[in-house]
Amino acid sequence: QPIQMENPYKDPPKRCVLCGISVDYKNVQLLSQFVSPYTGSIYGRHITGLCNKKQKEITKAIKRAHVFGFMPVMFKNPQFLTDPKLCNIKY
Amino acid sequence: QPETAAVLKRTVEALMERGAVVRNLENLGERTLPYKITKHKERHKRGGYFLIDLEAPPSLVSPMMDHLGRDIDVIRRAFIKHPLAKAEECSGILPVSPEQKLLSAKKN
Repeated sequence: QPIQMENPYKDPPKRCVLCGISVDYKNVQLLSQFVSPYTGSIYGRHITGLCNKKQKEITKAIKRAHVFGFMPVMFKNPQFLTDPKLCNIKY
Repeated sequence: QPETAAVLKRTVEALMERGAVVRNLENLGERTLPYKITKHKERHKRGGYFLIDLEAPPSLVSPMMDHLGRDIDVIRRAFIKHPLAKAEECSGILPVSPEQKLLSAKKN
């Protein structure tokens, strides 16, 4: 008689890049990695590949950083231009 | 630098007057602002960033924003809720079945 059990060969759930990292409006470096270096616009979910929650948190944090004067709006801070690429974009 | 100290002292005293409990005051450094800010008929390029940890009733917010708006040395003011460190249970990207994808009606 076969025993009922859940699939033992299941992969662990896929994690996005920020799974487990708390997003803050103060760390401009992390936020600038999800912003275009030419226009300063925030990348969409199909480019960043983040889960729902984290994408929402990142957009809110970026908008906050814009308003409070932590992050530039129309471009990416040149200090952070050479950061490792997290987004799935080809220039 | 003594001016910044005076500004901070003024704000903290005003906060304590209205009955706020100041827990912590952090200096996030002085840097060039990401964009030039015009405030009180002056174009500012450099600024000092300070973060004050507060505990106060919500009726404190509007009078304090007024008060800080009248202060010439304060360029930008804001109140934020204290972020509760609760986001440790990120379960990762859950797989969505194709039926749910059709039901969500995304125009693609």
